[in-house]
Amino acid sequence: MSLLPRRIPLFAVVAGALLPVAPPMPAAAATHVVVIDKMKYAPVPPLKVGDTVVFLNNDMFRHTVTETKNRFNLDLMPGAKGSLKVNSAGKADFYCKYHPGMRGSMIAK
Amino acid sequence: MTRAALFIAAAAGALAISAPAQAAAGPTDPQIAHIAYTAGSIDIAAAKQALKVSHNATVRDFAQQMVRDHEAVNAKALALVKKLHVTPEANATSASLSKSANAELAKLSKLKGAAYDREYLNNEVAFHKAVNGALKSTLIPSADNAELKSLLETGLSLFQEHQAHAEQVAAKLK
Ligand SMILES: [Cu+2]
Repeated sequence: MSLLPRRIPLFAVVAGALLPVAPPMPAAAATHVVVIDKMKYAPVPPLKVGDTVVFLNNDMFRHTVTETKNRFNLDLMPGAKGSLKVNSAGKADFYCKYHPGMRGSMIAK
Repeated sequence: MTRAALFIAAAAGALAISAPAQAAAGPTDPQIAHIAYTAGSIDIAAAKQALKVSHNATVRDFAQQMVRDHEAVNAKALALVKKLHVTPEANATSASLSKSANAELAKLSKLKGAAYDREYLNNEVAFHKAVNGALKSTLIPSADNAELKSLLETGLSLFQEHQAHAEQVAAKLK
């Protein structure tokens, strides 16, 4: 499972849709909610291609979910949520632009 | 002199903070709430001054974030003390913090341009470092109420991030 940034981006920001609107996906596609609170990202569960990850900012601060190579970026005000769709297998590391010590990663198979 | 007087003393420009002589002499929750709120307010005031004076986009972005983050914590702190029926209690530590902060604001008000930006950022690094030390060594260990302790812990994570961020911006200005 190499991480070469080629062809399709690993994750795509789902524009507009805030809540799991079931896209035409294989039956196994799942939606995972990852909560951000107290200056931390909750761990992202193992993902499969086709899954959707919803980041929910429950913290009092504005945070981002920014991929280290800038392949995706969600800027979330307190209370806001944003979604990513997993387009291909691989690993992505992300951090918060405002609080760069906040880090997380996700792996899709 | 209140019990909180011992552990934060203003010293030439920067804040020198040491642990209390005895653990039993730590500040009370109403004093801790006052100190934490004061520290946040000081950083907001400094950032608002920077937004009036600085023309550097990186410095302004940093200042805007300081306002946003510290206003958020202070709003939470106010809501918490209200819920707990705690009245924040003024104390020598808060007074000392405010006094140093006012002196720093006065110093900054005489500067402009790059000199202002550098002094603002250097002071932000020193200030966040001092508050981090106080949170870790005194305020968090002394807090009795679990919700207050948890808010202070989030505050510590935030202040550590801000310190690192301020160090990055300060390094760019050199
Ligand atoms: Cu953040």
